[in-house]
Amino acid sequence: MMTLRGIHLNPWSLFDELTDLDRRLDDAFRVSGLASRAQYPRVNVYENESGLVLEAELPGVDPAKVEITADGDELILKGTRRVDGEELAFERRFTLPFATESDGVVANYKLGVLSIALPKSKHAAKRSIAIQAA
Amino acid sequence: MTADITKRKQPQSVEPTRENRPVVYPVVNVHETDDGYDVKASLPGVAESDVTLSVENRTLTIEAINTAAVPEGYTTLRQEFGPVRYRRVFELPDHVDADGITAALAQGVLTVKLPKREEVKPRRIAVKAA
Repeated sequence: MMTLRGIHLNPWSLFDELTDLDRRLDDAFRVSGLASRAQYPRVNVYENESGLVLEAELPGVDPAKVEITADGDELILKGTRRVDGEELAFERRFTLPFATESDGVVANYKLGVLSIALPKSKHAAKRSIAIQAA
Repeated sequence: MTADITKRKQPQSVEPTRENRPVVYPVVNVHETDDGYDVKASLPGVAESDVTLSVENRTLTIEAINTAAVPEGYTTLRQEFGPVRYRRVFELPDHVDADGITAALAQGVLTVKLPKREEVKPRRIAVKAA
């Protein structure tokens, strides 16, 4: 986990170069009007000590047609969106860097962006342990 | 297929301004009705106040900036979209009444209604009995 993150933080790593190329290709496809090679929906993931926030670009979807399943360290985001009178299905699966408690997952939809807050399960969260004096 | 959520980390960029954002073509669908044209543009993350719609010399310009900021106190693990400037320009056909254009933004979708001039709308002509 730490090793992986270390690589990603290095701006000169081959991985980032490839990611950048990937992104340029995605942009090129988008500009030319062809279907993007990227998966739908596009997501950003942010982390802090207590958990993750995943944001997905889902303009114009009916929130009732989106299903979020968080089970342990797996998150599934799926649903349908209406495109030219047709219901198109989408699905993305993510492996979380920790286990989450499905009860604590909160989602909200605003400006066509779905935001999902995934708290770390208490089991996985860091605890500070008091040291008792003898 | 299961994606590693920690992949696709992008280097943190400088604070985006309206000018230094990459310009992106929003995805657009156009439908024709008897009354006019409905232009639907995908603008996820865009607030009403961040859309500019202008008509000049029969040219319609849609411009908007999105909100894609790292939440306070968080670090980025994966970034597939970022701050952009959406921009798309259309030439209006002569039979569109530019003064009657209306627009509405709902959940990241901008709908622009371009009404046709009265004289080009299909009309039903009543046939009188002789």
